[in-house]
Amino acid sequence: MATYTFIQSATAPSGNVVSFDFTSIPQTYDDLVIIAHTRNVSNNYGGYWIVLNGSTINTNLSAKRLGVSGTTNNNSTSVETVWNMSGGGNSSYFATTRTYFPNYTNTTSNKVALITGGQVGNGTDLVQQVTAWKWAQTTAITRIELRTDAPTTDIFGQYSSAYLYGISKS
Amino acid sequence: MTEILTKVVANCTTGVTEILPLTAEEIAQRKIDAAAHAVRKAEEDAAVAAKAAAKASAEAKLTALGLTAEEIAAL
Repeated sequence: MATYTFIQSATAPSGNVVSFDFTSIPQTYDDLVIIAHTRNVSNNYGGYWIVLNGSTINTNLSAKRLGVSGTTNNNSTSVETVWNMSGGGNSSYFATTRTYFPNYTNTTSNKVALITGGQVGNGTDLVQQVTAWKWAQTTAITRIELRTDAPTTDIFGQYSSAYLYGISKS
Repeated sequence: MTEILTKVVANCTTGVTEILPLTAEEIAQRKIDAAAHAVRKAEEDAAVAAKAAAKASAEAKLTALGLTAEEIAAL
């Protein structure tokens, strides 16, 4: 039976937090999970990147998203952020996202993750997403950063938080 | 925005969490990433729009040939 072990959390104070940066991640688990509850101080949807090991996004990141906002499809096949860091584009509401990194310590294959998330916002603009995410580096994951994609407009609102867990399969 | 951008750094080995200002290099890299993303997104949006336009054009031509909306949808 898999066991979740809490590793570390990060919570935004008031101010201009544009990144949650988990460093020195232990290499003692099988998989990793990040649960993030975020809101955007701007009244827009926004998003955040997941960046590994302090590297750069270009050439490393690719992703495909199935997304729905209300009754409108919002799919993407480009380099993509974790979509919708706030509820319904409203700074008062939080979005919740779960990102699962399997086999994060391996050094022979690119890193992948499955991202699922959504929010109910004000109840009129339900947003959901499922994203298949790939990072084209074989290095073991020692650092994970959640980085807002537009640092001049998208800011993690106060009480936004992220929790990192290690998964042991036995 | 004139206020200092910050990051929450959570060291998973020591358990220490700090609020640190972004360096000039980090800010510059973010701008590069955001610009690159905007370009990729614009390209994607244009491709989607072009596909929708082609679909509408094809449907109009099929309609002109006498197909009903139900018949077009069934293709």
